[in-house]
Amino acid sequence: MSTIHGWSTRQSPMVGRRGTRPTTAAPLVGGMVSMVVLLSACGAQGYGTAAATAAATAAATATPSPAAVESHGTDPGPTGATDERPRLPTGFPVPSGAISEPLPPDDPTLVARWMLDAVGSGPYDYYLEALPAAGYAVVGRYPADQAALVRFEVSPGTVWQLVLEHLEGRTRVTVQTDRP
Amino acid sequence: MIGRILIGASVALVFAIGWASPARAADDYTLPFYDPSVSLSYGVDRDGRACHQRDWANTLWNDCSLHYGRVYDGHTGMDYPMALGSPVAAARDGTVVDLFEGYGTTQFGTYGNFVLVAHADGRRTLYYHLAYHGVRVAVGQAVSAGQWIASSGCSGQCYGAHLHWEMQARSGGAWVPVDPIYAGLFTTNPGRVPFLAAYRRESNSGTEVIRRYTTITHWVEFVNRGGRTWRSDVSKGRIMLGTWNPAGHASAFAAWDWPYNWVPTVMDQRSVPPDGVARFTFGLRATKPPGGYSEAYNLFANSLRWFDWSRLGSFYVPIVVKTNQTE
Repeated sequence: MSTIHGWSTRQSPMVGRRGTRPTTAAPLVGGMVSMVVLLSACGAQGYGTAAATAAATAAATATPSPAAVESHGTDPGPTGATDERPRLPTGFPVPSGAISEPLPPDDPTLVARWMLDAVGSGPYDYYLEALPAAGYAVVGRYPADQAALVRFEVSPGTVWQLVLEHLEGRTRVTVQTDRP
Repeated sequence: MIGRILIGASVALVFAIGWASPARAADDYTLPFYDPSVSLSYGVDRDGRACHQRDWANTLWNDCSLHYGRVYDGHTGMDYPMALGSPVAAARDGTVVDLFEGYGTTQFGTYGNFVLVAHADGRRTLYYHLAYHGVRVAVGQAVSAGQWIASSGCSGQCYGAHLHWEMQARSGGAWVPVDPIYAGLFTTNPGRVPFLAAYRRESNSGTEVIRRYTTITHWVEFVNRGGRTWRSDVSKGRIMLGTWNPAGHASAFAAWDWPYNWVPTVMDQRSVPPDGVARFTFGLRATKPPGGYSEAYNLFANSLRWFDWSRLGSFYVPIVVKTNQTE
């Protein structure tokens, strides 16, 4: 866990592997299983909900075990992910306290979404530091009044974007594939 | 007081205005900052419907997404990313009619620090998200185009340090946002920073050899890459050449024709528009002992701003002083 802008960053416990391309359904489902397992485990150990769900968000990016795939089939996970949806790369920075949000099923460009209990420059500045620190080059930064967009290279030649939006006193963070 | 400046409150009124008559004037608006590398984050949404966005080029998006470099839904101004504390410039001559600077530099909230400037053409410009106590002007004060009026921040509704710059016009009894690009209100469309120059050539790009106690004439030309017309026939804001490194030092090569010992000359022409070429002719008189010297020069807008010397080609004149035969 590292600290950037006073926030700690949770990353996937799996081996760091940046630049993950969109993958097939099997690893995705495995990731969902990991998330469920982690949620349960954290709850059992008395972690706060926010921390647990942040870990779960990161865990959803992890490479699953074959056993998990077998036992849970291909149901979409709690983020609303579909078969076509790319996965958040392993090690992608997620601030502690992030709470996972479901994704609308009709937009396959959405990768992951979570809520932060912070507003304004904090979340934006966090990602301007955390992305390069995690190995993702920032290729565009577009601050605005109630939202901001940060474009980053998720793998050589592939740009994704991170949208921060002010919603009722909190910030919704959405990772999505490139969109004009 | 601050309530009048709530960004976004007048979104519904944006569309009452006719995006009006492009009438480009010689000394119209420039970008409200000095760094030419700053690029637009988001412009004005010219479509009043929710989740319909139209930018200055009439491109229409029927969604609510952020379209970086172009527009986002309901946006009433122009967002320019800039580091906290960056200088903010008046986009045109005017008078400060309102301001507030009491919020924290990165304090998020409904309201933020701002300066509001009224212009002679009936429009006014708003500079928003400014730094805590970052305002350098007072209400009622006249400001000149290109004058440093404030330092940027991220106060108010702000995700990431930037300047929200908004042009407003009176329409139907209310102030409504104007898209300056669409309306063709920049001196150069799209806008440019007020003061910027590029080196073009000089009378001698090599070393000037001067015999001691004699004077030679040197000239240098710069292209006006900024948004303002350069003028030499005004007091405030006229373009002059000054000594540099350090700025405004008394020169050891000042000749009789220099206005001041740190100002070799005023621009030769009366007026040079954007993209025009200006020449600066001045004498160099050697009084120093024989040897090799160099002196750097930079342009400045009188009482307003030094130019960016590096973008001006880091102009300097190498000088060799030789013994005068009479010595």
